[in-house]
Amino acid sequence: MKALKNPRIVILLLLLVFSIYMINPAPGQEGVAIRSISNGTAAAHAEPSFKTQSNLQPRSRELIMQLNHQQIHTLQDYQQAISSLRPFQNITITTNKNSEIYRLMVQPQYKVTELNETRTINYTEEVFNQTLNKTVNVTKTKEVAKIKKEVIGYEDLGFNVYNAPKSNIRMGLDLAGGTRVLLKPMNKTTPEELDITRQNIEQRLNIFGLSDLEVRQTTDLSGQEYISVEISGVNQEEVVALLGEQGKFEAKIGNDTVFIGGKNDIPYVCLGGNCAGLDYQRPCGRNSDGTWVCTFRFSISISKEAAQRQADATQKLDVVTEGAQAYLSEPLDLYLDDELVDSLRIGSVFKGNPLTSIEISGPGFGNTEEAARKNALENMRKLQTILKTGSLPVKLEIVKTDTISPVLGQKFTQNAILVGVLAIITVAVLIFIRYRDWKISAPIVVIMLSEAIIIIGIASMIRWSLDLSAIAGIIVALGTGVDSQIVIADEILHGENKYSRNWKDKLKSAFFIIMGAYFTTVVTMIPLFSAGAGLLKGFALTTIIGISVGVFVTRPAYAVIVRMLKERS
Amino acid sequence: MSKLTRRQRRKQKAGPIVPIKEKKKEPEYKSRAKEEKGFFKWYDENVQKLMIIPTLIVILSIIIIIVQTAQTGSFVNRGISLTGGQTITILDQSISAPEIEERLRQEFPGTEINVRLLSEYGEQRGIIIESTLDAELDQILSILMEYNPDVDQNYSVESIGSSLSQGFFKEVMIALLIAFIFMSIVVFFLFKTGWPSIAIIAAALSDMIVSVAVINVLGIKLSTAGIAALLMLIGYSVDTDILLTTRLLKAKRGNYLDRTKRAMKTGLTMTTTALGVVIVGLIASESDVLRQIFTILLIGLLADILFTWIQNVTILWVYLKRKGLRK
Repeated sequence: MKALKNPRIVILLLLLVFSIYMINPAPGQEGVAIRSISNGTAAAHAEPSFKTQSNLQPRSRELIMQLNHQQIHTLQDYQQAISSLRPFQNITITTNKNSEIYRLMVQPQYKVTELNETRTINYTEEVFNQTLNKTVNVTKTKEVAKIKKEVIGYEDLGFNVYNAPKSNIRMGLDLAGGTRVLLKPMNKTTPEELDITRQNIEQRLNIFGLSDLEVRQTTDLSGQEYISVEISGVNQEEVVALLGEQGKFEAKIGNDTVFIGGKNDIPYVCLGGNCAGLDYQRPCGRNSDGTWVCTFRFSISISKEAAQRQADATQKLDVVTEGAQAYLSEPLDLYLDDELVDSLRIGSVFKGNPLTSIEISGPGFGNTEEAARKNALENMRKLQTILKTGSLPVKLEIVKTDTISPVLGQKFTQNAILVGVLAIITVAVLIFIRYRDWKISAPIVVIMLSEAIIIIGIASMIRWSLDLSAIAGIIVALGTGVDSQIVIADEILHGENKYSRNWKDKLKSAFFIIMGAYFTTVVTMIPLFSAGAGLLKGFALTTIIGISVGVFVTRPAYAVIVRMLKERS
Repeated sequence: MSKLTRRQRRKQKAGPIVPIKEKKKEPEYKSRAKEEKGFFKWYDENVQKLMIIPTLIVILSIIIIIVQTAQTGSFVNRGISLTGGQTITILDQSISAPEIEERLRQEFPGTEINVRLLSEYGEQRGIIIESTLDAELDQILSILMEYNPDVDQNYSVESIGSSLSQGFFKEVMIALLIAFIFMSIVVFFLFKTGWPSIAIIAAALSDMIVSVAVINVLGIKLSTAGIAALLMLIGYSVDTDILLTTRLLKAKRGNYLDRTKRAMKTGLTMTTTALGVVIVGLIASESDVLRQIFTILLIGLLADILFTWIQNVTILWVYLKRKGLRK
């Protein structure tokens, strides 16, 4: 009880309690956590809608507890539950956050084939009426190929989920799985440009349906700036491709640029639902070389100024007739990073009319119809993202990518924990063999464990992810900790002042040695903070946190504990 | 292992709580431990002769590093993370590394491909494919899927452009240098005397040189993690040297041999504990990153025993003798 009155012990205990509170462990937590929701999927259209936030503490994430009144304990349960759905089925989802029940409808997957017949369809179009001097909706008819639309299955619900986190410990990429990309600006950039770029990338990824990500600016010793992007959990190669693109989008008629990507010219981009998806008017088909091509389309609204530019550009064009259709002599060409994506024929009725609603389309290719469809949808998402966010102010080059599959990451985590436990047992055994006195060795093990907990607690608090290099840092810190404990133990047992009644005297030289070791380790870690785009920053930071906790909190407490145990006997 | 007798304990218990002021004793550097027997007698008489061992090892290491630099243009073998290229790790107990290597070499002629085993407790856990390939990940994965269809769920890829990795290598070397300089400044500040501080720095430097040489001889390809391990070594190496120097120079009692003995007992406990952890870690860890860290620490900690308890002790003893504080 006396121990509880000692301020050093009190500080240690308080810090321990605080760390455990920050880690917030819940070993039995069930359910699956929602990492993100893909656009245009059933999940994105749920009633009420899901709110996903980035940078939540792991334990604060929304968990799916029930799907169609079926309890979801683990990821397997979830996968099993979604494997037995039917298209158009109405399902309910219960989460831990909202007392309300989410309702959503399973979206069907279609296979569309073009038939050798045509049919007439009615459609509505915005047309500029010169006499009224405003755009009006006009219903028109057109002749299109007849298509057969078959339901061949159902689309994924669109939840990106993982087993419910059992604590607030954030696993770094090499332990949790995910993708890390390091981007380097190709030209000299101002801090403002870089900041816009960073925000833009973050926004692009959010539109892509990824919210569990971190976009950071880093600098190396020579002052070279980098942008590092970390996306947890998923391997998304198309995302990596998106990051490398500047995304300069231009729509041109002839040589006139009509509008460009970004909010100024394009206030609205349809991301899903009925106004975006595969173009069933232009179904998938085979090229002469046997590859498949599919077409996507989505609608956008362009600003009044852009619409006027288009009207001016089309005014100059001639009308050409092809069969029953009349077109303008020049198409609307869509360029992405100076490469032609698609050419859209413009109907003759649009000549000189400022249109604000435009349908954008483009192709996707693949060796099979399935692959082409997937590619078309990926291209659509990319283009939607770029149109919405505009181009990056600088051109970026991908200089480093790391991808770790979540399965592999999990195996590494288990292994790292095993190594940690074995290391602590080894230390305990060796220390006991050396001193043959549990009063010396038991506190060393207790202190080691508390140090590990405090380091992890602080990492959880500052939302720092533990990766393998951070674990290496924890090993250094614990190792240095044990070393200092040994110095203290030896000083107490065999030190020159061992018969001294004054504990301060006894430990004076021990603390000199410990402080010396502390400062040398800290200064060796400092250069790593910025060297090499901060790739070893995790290691340096964890080491410094760990040894600082050791020197200022746990070491003094250890001395007090040993002293009390020794004084009692 | 409390050395207090029962009588002393009782005396302490009954004694007043106010600390007894110790009588200041004259330093006993000069008195020689005549009663020493066995190892420490031999150690006392021979440690300066033993100095030949660390000296030769350092010279040999420097030669190894110079030869390495002359042959390859770089003083260490750099892994993919420091040269640029791609590393693919796959966990699979049965896939055959030589077979995959052969297959990939046929598929991508002219590129440097190296497949090695990842093992734990001596058993295969997976394979690591290192290559200078850049964009052919999909192709490699589809080849691997012929051997194990689950590969796409179970892999990690690290790819780094050569310009960044070159720059990165330069940067971390600068960081290592700065770290060393900072450490030296702190050591000078702590002891405020020339020779003892230089001895500590020399011990740390020798430790690094020998570790790098052994890494080269073992054919280890240094990765980013390896650099972290080298930095850890500076810390661990300096720890024992600071301990020795403090005990030898700042203590008030006991002759030089007594003090060295006490320091050695503490220091070897420290090193043994660290070695225990490193060896256990090396056997148990399946991550390449942790394995390299543990390997380098193992080498460095073993070398540190020589440099602290022979080299540093000898320098300090000679220093004490010069100052007339010994013999």
